[in-house]
Amino acid sequence: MELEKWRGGGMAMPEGSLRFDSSRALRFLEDVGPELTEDIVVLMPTLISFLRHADPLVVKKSVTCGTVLIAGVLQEIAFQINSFGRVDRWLEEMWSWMVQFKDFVSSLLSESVSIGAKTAVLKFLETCVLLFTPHSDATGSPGKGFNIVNIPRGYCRFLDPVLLESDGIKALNLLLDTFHSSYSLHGTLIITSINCLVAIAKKRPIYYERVLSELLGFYPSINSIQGAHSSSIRFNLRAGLLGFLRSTNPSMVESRDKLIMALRGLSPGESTEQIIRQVEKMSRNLERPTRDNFRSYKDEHPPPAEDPISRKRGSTLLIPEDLPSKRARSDESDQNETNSELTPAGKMIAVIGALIAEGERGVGPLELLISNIHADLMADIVIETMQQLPKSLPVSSPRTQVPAGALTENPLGTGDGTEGKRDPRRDPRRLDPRRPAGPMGSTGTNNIQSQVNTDIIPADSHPVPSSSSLASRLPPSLPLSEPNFVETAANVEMKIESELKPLQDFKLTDVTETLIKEGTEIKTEEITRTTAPPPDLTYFEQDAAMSTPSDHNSVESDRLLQGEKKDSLMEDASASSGELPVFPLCFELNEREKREACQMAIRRIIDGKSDYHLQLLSRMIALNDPEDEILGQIQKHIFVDFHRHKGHELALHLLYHLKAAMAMDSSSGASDRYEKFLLSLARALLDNLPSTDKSFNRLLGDAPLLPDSAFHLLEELCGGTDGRTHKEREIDGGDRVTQGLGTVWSLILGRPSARMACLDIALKCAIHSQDEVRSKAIRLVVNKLYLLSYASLRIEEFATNKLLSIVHDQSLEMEVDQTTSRDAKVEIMNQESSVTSSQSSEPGFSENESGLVLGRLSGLSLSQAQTQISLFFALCSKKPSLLRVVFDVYGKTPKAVKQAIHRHLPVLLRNLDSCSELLDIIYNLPEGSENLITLVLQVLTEESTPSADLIGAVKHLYFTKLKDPVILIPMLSSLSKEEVMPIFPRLLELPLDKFQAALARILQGSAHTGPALTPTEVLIAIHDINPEKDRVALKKVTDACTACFEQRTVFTQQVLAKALNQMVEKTPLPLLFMRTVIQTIDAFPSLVDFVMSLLSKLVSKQIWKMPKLYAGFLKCVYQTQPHSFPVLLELPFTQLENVLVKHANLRAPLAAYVINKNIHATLPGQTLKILGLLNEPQQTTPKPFDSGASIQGATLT
Amino acid sequence: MTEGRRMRFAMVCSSNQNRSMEAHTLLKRHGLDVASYGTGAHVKLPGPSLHEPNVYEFGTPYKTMYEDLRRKDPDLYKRNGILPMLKRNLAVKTAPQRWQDNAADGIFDVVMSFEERVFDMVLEDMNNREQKLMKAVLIINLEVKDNHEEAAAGAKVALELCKELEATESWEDTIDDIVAKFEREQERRILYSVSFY
Repeated sequence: MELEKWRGGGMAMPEGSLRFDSSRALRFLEDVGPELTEDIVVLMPTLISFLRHADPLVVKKSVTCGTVLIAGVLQEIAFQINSFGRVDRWLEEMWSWMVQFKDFVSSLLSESVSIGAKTAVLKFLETCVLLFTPHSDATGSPGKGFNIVNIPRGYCRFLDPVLLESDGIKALNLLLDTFHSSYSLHGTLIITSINCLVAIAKKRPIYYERVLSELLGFYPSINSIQGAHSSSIRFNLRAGLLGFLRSTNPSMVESRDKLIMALRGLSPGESTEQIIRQVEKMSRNLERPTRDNFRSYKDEHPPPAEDPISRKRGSTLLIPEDLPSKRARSDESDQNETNSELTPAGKMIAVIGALIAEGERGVGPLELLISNIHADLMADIVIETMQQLPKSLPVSSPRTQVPAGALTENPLGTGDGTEGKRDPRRDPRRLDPRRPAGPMGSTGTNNIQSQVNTDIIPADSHPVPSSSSLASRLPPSLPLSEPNFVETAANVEMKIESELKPLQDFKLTDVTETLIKEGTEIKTEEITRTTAPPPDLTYFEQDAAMSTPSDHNSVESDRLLQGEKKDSLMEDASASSGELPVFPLCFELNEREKREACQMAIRRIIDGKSDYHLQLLSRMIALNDPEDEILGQIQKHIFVDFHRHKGHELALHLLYHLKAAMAMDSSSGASDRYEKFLLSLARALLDNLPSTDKSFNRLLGDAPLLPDSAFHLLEELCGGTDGRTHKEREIDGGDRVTQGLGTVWSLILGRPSARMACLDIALKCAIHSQDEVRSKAIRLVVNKLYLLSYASLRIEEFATNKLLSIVHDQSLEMEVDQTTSRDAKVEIMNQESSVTSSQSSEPGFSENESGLVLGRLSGLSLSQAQTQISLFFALCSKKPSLLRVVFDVYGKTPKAVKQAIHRHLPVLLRNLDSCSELLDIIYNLPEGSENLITLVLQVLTEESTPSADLIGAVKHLYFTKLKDPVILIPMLSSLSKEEVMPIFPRLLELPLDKFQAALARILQGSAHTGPALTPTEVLIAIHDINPEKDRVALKKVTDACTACFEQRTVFTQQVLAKALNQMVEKTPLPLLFMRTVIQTIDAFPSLVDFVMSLLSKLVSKQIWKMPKLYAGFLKCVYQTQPHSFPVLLELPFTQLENVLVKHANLRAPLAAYVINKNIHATLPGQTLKILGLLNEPQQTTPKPFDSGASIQGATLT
Repeated sequence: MTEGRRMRFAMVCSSNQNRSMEAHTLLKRHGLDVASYGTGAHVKLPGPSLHEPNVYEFGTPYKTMYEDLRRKDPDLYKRNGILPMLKRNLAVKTAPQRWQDNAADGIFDVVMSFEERVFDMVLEDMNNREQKLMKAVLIINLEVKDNHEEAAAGAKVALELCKELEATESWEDTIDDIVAKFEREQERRILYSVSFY
């Protein structure tokens, strides 16, 4: 073992461990495990040196190894403290190595090491964050048994919990930075950082808000990531968010709406919806007990009468009278919570306080900590600390008081615990200018203003300096680097605060507010206070020379910030410059100047392209009631690179602000502004972003209030009437309609108050005249909305009403159009309704008639009718029982509607799984729907064999109610011979085309049973019909025969021969037998011999005794001469004589036949006599030629 | 791999019968170091109807199942390919194994699942385990329908993918390209994630 070798070899480790080749190094690393012994200390230099190894695998493995070790070391430390109350020396040394290792590893991220190694580094950072953050769970964390809350401060010399915690924050920042820069990163790194962040947020909920905001900020940009596998990233992000959603941690529960919204945006679809539904169900079960706790509170303060969602949103709005009670409640709950769980800001303040208390030692970490604190968190810290400041600071303190110093007096003075937890930055109450700022801001803003002015102006007796004088007053030593206006928002505020500290009798909170509010009251003390030479003085002089007040202001603010920048550490700054600061100057600007200054400030913030412009802008908006121009300016900004600039968040800040203004000001002006802004935003989103972008959807989903006009806009969008030309619409392929309907769908889910309005929009679209709009809307309504319990009834009613309305109105419209008098429409409607009913009750009012009446209108009406009933039929596919309505009204519907129904029904039936509803309908068929049911049966049997149930139902219908055999036709193929035979005569009675259809079904049969009747059997069945007994017109039977003969491919000569052969044996012979024989010989002359054999059989059956048949027999004989001569000769001589009397022209050919064939001998004498061959044999001989001619003539006739 | 040891692969599906075993067989035949698992609560095999599946505990030998089904309806299970499948499986290993109970089997470098639901469960299980070694594991999902034909096709893709991964120096650097290439060539949806042991 490599390790053993080194251990065995004593303490001497090779200095340059880079000499390890890869395989040795890897073997070495394999052996370093989590078990710690004293001699592992000596291996640490080697381990650290491996971080620079040439082989990427060694680097990766080393980081992994260190990750395991750091957890192990802390675990061992915790164990020793708990068990022995002290820590071994070697462990202390080990820890110091680990600290080195940690710093080294952190630096790897910015170096060009392999992705594998970087992945390991990310895991290392996650481990550090988990280790260095206090927690309450004992499981699932690295370093089992180690928790920094269990290490008393000052107990362990080398292990300061405060420092550790700040290290933890540093590690988190590094992780976040990596994630931030991940747009250009490798998929593995992005996914690992997402997973690490999610793990941190789950295990250390104190960081949840922060991680969540990063993750949510990330997702819109997934698609823009180059090179990485975006669907995997999306999946991992989704999995992380779902994990949060399923969590019962209070802060995760609180952000549920946000999560759901994000998830829907991230991966819309049924699977996500299903999970969301599960979670909602779960949370309802969990919330029940909690809700009970709050009930007493709610009883005292009933919420405003709004729907649940807007109430939820409303709770974050400014409702002044609601505020004190809410605050009181949160204060109460604070007392319970402060000890157990601090807000992130509170925690940070405690950490800063502790660092400051460290004195000199704390400076370094403090500096690092502050430089790494996230802007949002910093803003929170400043706001929280401001509330704790004393009303006035000591008059002549030469040293700046560190803000956190004030906090050490109130280390737990975090103010409002629950507020913080709900992320106070997003709380519009805070953004409202009218809200008293903290406990001491009870005086109004105006008061503050005047107070500030009076406080400040006397302090410096100089008059307000003009810009030129200001420039001249600039000390030559102004320490200016390149002007960089936008620092982090938090730093700016922090520093403003620190700069302002020395002011005497100065309300810090008020001044900060004033500063931001007015944007013009310039404090210049730091300018004079600074000492270093300005590298870019010209910039200022130039700017200052342009003596417009606005420019002036910007210069001032630049200086302010530059000065601040220099004093990055407040303590150092004030310590180094021992001079007393000069008191600030104030400028009184008129309204126009203020406005310009404000606009300019905003422009600078926007142009600054800082990551923090969102925070700055939102604060500015909150403090200054923005004018329309400024709104416009910001709005324009929102759309420049919408996603990157978090346009959505900014827009919401503005909207909430305007909504708050509405709540305060009941005049219509405020609501007009809100409405105007929202609409212009929404329109601009539609114009600027592609239809696949979800921003429009999000905006309407998140906006605090949706005015009616927003719904109009949505309706326009869905209906494709959004002011674009038809061509434009074609270009985007109706995507806008999809977008609009998508928005409608998410609003229905997300905004209960908007449900009905949105539902109406969707329904209107579902009967839209444009096919595309209609079909999309119908899909939405039927597949999504109809499943919602609150919408289904309304949808059903709507669809049914539409169906009924056209049933009743359609005929009216025709009338109206005919009279072309639009004014009279209403009257006619009233009159006609009675006419219609009387018409419809008349059985004679057939479709054809109404069709004729309609004339030119029918085409129009058909499409109208289709438009109106599509939705209904789509619903039927989900709820087949609705079909009954169609059957109920069918009898009364005008032709156009019937046609529309005929078009829809087959589509519906093909998609219908079960026909149990139909069976019910068939069993109780409503009046007038006979045609419809026939159509239904046709469709049902088109592609599949009907079920036994269906056959039963149809038979039942036939035998009980509807005697029309037409309905049986579709079933015929599945019926057996025994079933078909009794109804066969009825089928024959049908019009010929129907009979032919029936015949086809009978012959087609089903796959299982084969045809009910063979063609032969069909023929026989037809012939078996007795017109009198079966009450069938003979004409129908002959027609049926003819129909059979027309199908020569089915009724082949074999079939005919077989049928005739069987029939000839019957007694009595079928009535039409001879007719068929004649037809057969006509159709198939080659059957002549067969026919002769038949005729011969008939002779033997004494055909002459059947007069009707005998006529046919003779006709046949006559037609088939000379082939029939032998048969003729078979007849008894009396019959033969009769024949020859009737058909005198047969005599000669027959005689010639006998002579030619020379069959005198075989014939009886009487026969010969009849033929005239016996008496005058000499006469016949000279006429062979003639007889030949007559034979020829006979065959020709 | 320059680590001197070969990659270990795990094939995971729901019941450790069809897709994972098909891939297991194929990878094993090609000499890769592979194991296979199921994430379901039970091992489910199709029965006479959709509502009457044959349910077994994980750990029940394939041979037992084979004999059981042969006794029940040899024709049916031969026709639907279950018996041949079980026969194949019992030649590879004794019994289906459950992913969630595989801690003792050591660590894998690559875990491949064949269904998004299974992928989710593997990830969730990995997150719930105590992470001690801090060693990264690549988890890949390859969407494969649960029938014999698709399983065979899926196993081929899995083999190619695993071969490619084993050939690479470090999957962390190349996974994006490999996945993109496979998606393009095979027209199959692939997802991956990274977890730690």
